[in-house]
Amino acid sequence: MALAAVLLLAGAVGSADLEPRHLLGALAKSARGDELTPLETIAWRIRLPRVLLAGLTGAGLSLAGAVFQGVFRNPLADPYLIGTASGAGFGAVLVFTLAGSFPALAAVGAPVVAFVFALLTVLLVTLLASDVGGVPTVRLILAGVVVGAVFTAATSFLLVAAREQSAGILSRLLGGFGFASWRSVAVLAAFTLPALLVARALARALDLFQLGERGAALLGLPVEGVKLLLLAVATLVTAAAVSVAGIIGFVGLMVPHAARLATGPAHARLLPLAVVWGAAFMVLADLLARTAIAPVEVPVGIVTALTGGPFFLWLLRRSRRAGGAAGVEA
Amino acid sequence: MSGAAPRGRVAPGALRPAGDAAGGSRPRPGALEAVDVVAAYPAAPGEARRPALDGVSFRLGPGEVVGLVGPNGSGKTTLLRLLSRQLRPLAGRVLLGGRPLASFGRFELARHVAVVAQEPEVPVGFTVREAVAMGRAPHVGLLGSPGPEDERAVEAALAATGTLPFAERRVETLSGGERQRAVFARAVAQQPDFLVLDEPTNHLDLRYQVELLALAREQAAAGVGVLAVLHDLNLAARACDRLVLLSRGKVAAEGSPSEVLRPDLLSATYGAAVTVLRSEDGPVIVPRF
Repeated sequence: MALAAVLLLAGAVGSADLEPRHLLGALAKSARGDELTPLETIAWRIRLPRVLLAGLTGAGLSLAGAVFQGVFRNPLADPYLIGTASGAGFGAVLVFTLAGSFPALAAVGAPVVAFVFALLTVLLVTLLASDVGGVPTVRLILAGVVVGAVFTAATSFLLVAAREQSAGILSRLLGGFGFASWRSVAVLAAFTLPALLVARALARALDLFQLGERGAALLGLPVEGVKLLLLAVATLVTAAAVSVAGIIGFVGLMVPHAARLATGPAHARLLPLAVVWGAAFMVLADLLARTAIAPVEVPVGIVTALTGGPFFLWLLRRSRRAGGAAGVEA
Repeated sequence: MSGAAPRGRVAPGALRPAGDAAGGSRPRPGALEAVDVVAAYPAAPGEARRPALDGVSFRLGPGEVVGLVGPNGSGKTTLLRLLSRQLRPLAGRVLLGGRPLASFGRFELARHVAVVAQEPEVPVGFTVREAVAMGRAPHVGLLGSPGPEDERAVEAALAATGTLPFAERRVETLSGGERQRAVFARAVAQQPDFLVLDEPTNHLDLRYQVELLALAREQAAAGVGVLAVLHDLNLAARACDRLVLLSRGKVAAEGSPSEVLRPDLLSATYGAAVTVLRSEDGPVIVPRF
């Protein structure tokens, strides 16, 4: 319900004065195939896709964060911090650069190539950071930062090499929903919704990971297969989100934490809540991004970083004070 | 085992119900056994590969409590890992009810054999009840959801282990003794036929040591075969029906506590002089300086 209210609010507020009835009217008329009024056209062609894209992105990044945190048994894992998003960003930019003149190819190809590079990043970071029985925070973040930096540098190189296209690609990479279209909504939904279902189905397995990989195996869990599947799912949604909306940090860190505080660590409850809150958070962040200093749009990644950075520091402090209680092994 | 062993806070009637909730109709398999097993770990470069177990045979039947004792490095943990399929033997066979352990499915094996690891990880943030319910995973499967049968098994495990009073507390807030009991409760919720405990009394004070082994004996009374790796020989003498003494990867002695805990045997195996006193409660081992 709260999510529906947020969607309606964000749909209505913007540079053109829409009211909720325009959104609803546009929805009803589009369903019937009737003629739209100009305001309803804005609602249907611009506002709705944008809000939905933001919602899907927030949902996907939050899911990815919750899954990474569960698999690594590490509350500081997040698609951005462990370098996945940078790997995905490199893949997406690679496609944008090569397929700049074929937008249709870019729309479908970018998530796929982004996924390949993001998965490569996850495997590399996991390999570098793994220790017996878990992935310690310090090593995870160090490995993530290093691998992420390499991909960021490679991305910068591509951008420089792309010359006249680079400004457009850079603004996509910086994070934002200004490019929203029904096609991008469809692409993102096609990657994100199945991922949500798979992750939800494996929620109990994610709980078992909290016993350590050995403990989970002693209860019969096929640890390696499930881990790979979960990492692939989290990486896939990250890659899809990055390739349509750019790199948006900290959402995958913050939202699962807030949800965990509210509902406890059991993933059957945690994952759905993180998905809903992530969607709502991202829609609101985008609303802020496009209205704060209108008509200039702030990249939404700046908004999430400004709220997420302090949150991350607070979390780091809190987990250090609580020692093992917060589950952070440094 | 003497009847004088304190029962701690565990009510004797709190055993898991006869014909236990889920597995009542399931026939218990004959035994968990190792036949002439050889096991070794990968050697460090330049070193000869020394077998950790060299031709060991071992049998754990239903309803008995067997203590695995021996010096550090004698192969206790290796045998335990073979019996729970955490390690595969280089030679020899490991059987459950006459069937090779390797032929069991993952969840299937976990329905028969439950392991309490030496320093088990606790699932931070979860309540004791939720953590104990994780023991139902082998019955629920990868994608299933727990049913009333699973809830009954969890309740029974909480009641049988005296963990009900702190069932709603988060596991990381428990004391060492409470935590170990919660881990034990999870193994009981698994409703296994065999319970394998790796130094379950490590880091516990006297009261919790006795309590935990009393709980293990209650499981045995309900028909579960219990194998415990124990360092404390006096504790082993009181808690176990039978002891197996390992030395350098071989069985040095096997039998009742008074048969195995002989001064000559212990001195030779451990390389330390001991005196064994006889009490009506079984042998008492006293180190000599």
